[in-house]
Amino acid sequence: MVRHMTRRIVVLFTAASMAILLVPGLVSAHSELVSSSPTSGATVPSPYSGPIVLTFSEHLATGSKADLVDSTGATVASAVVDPDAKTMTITPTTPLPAGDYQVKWVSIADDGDVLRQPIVSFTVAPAASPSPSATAAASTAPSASAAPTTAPTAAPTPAPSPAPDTSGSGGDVVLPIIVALIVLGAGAAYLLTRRNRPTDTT
Amino acid sequence: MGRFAARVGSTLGLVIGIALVLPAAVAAHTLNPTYESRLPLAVYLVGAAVTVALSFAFVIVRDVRATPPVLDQVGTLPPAWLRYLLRTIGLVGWLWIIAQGIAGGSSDADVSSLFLWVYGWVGLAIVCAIVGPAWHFIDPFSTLHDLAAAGLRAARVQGWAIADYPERLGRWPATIGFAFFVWLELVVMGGPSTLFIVVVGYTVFTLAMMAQFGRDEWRSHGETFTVWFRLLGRLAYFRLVDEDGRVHSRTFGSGLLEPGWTAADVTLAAFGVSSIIFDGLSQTEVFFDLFGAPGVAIRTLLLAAWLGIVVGLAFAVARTVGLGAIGAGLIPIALGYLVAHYMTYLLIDGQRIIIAISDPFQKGWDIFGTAFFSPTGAWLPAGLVWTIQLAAVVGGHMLGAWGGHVVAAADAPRGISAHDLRFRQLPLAVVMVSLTTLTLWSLGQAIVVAPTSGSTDASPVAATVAVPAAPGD
Repeated sequence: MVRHMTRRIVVLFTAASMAILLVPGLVSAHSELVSSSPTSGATVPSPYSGPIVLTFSEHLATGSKADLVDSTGATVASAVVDPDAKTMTITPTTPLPAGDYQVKWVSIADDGDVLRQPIVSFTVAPAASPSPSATAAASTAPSASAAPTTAPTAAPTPAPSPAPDTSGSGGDVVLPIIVALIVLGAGAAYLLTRRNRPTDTT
Repeated sequence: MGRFAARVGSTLGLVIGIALVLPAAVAAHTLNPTYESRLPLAVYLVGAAVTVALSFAFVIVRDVRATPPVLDQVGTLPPAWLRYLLRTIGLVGWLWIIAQGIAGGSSDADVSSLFLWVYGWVGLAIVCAIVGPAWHFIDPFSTLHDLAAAGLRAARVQGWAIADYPERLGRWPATIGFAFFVWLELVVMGGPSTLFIVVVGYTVFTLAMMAQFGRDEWRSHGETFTVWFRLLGRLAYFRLVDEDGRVHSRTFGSGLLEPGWTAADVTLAAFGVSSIIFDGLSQTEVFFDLFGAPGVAIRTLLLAAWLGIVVGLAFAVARTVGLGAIGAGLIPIALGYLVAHYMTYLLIDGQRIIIAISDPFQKGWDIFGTAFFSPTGAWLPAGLVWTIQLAAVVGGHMLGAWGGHVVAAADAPRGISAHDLRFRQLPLAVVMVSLTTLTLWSLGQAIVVAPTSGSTDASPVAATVAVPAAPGD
């Protein structure tokens, strides 16, 4: 009885395991951001009227969208999505004033996979100088591909944000050593000074 | 005096060994490519082995003893609001997974991986091991069972008679289930659709077994999460006194000394430890050199072989020191590895709930304006992470050495000489030294390969590696 029960449970879990391997969709088809114009992190000269174009890797399903928001979080303009061209295009109705902007996009692939990272950020430079600087001009050059965020899988992708100092300083190493020494020293002292319990095993 | 000198020497050696070893080892645990070991690998490996060996020598030479806890407390029920809050959280979590599964799709707002792996497999395990039996109340399967039973009673539907649970089956069903979930986590690495099917299937199976053998019988013997969390809960500050949920406070870790260890428990503990080690090993350069990126079949065989080896070692040790000693040695180590290995995963990937509440059904919504939130570890001070992980590794190992020794001494035949008692514990010490050294080695290796491993693999476990390096890191 027991053996039969155990066997049944093993068989059940084995069958379930086999069934899971047959489940479709283990590999998701994300519609990833392939490139953007302007590129994320770029500075463009004022006045800037776009168009801002995001290009994706897969067909864009219904619900895909992109909004241009300013530094206050207000939506300035929304994108026109061309599902077959795999693009989202934002054309501001008026030239963008100087400031920081973000394009918050959502791509939905045909199988329902939703992506919304990385956010594309760019800056419209103030038109302080009557003649555009070489730097600003250069930054408006045809955009290369977007940031290297198109990981081939669903694994979270490191974004190229400034890295904090997680490598730690000397103090980071010394602190745990001191803590360990204090804790272990206290524990060892307690055990060494404590009286032995009488044992009946000898 | 000679013995005292030996004790002082071993204690100092222990302290110095740990101080030398752990900063590097703990840095390795962060699984973050920006953390770098400050010691050559060989130095920290040798130091690790010496540290573990010395700590064992310490408790054995010192012959630390402890009285098994008295288990006659009545206990008290946690406040009703807390019990109902936990039950509600569990049920809402289950319903959310089901709703997302029905809606389909996948995204960073996916709650199946978030609740099952991040909050459940890691978070709840840590809470149940340190604080107390939270899962006893959160457990959505029991809540669903109670709701269904109440519904059937209201409808005057007569259920079938509850069968006697076969005693000889023990907790093996839960152990088999644990192996299944480990395989799902480390081999299949399935996405939301897979996890949805697993959750539905496991719910149906669990409810059927509860109907067959009774809710309490099945959850305490066959329901994987309950049995695993209760095993870890031997460490916890609050002990579950009865199936109604009464709890009683006790000294942390004293539950290791309670009797009742079975072969299924030891197997489960060995699975717990070895699966975390496998996760580490499978991300090493040596693993990639040897096996490349193996498919499901090969990876299944590798996992089965590794779990089998560790379980075999555990039972070999149990032959001399008893099941309780190896169980008491492994459980604290499992908790230590769990915290050290997955803490940053919990703290960083766990932030995805902020995204999920704005896009609860993965439709690209942004209800509360938090859908574009990007989980970050930038707020985690490296020194604090290291210190916590150091405490986990050191504490887990020390508690394991203490628990293993104390239980081995208590389980030893009466009249055995002190010399024989020490000699019998050598295999236990050797296994623990080996496992710890291997783990530290694998985690040290993970530093080297973490930047590439995260992008070759879509698993929730791969996310363990990749997430600490995610935006902000």
